[in-house]
Amino acid sequence: MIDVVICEQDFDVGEQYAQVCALAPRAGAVVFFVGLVRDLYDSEDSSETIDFLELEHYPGMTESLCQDIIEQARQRFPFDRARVIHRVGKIHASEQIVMVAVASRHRDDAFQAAQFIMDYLKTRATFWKKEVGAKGEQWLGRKESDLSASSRWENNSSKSNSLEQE
Amino acid sequence: MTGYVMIGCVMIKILLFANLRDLAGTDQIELPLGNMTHVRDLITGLSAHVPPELINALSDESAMVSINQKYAGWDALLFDGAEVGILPPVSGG
Repeated sequence: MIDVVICEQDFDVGEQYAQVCALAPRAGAVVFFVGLVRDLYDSEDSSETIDFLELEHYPGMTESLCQDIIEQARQRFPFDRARVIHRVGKIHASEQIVMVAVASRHRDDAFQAAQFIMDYLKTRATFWKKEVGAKGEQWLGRKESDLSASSRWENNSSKSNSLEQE
Repeated sequence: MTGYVMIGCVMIKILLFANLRDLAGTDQIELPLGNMTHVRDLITGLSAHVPPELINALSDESAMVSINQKYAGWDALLFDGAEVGILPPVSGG
């Protein structure tokens, strides 16, 4: 099973769950995060809806970065299996865009590894989103909130930091 | 896709993404290495081949860059056959 998949097609979470469980038979916890496309433009004051997102990436570099992010997560939070699926191309509002799955012995590692992977995906993986809708087209930049979420891991190499959130 | 290919020269391949590609009107440009030594020299090297809007967008070096699909800096050295990605701020997830 490949840990990183970049594809245009939608994915079936139930199918993915069965596959991850089958590949991590000793896991005691499985965490899934699924990101959906919001229907509003990303700017804070927007009440206008988008029709779809257009996602592009840097083939080759993106897969390599995602794999590297998974390995970084594994070094911090031991887990049995992780999988990332990220869609590209045209994706409509409310459709699935990204999935991060982590199976580990205990829930804390699975929760934290999934969050780490997602935070790093948003700030390091070479994907670009364009919103298309009533207001026209606009490429999205990196958000301060994403940078902030990602930076909280940088001075912590152990599992202790996530507990600060609780 | 358009490009500038010179056979027999030491060449650099430049890949552009998202809004930078839109500004350039192409996703890939090949340039002879010539006198360029560092990634930042590409800004000058590109100026004869792309619209000034792209040069303006690159001039503050706020975009990320990669060499052969690894993140690098604007002060990284160029070399024959390098694939340089010029990467706007990412927005996946």
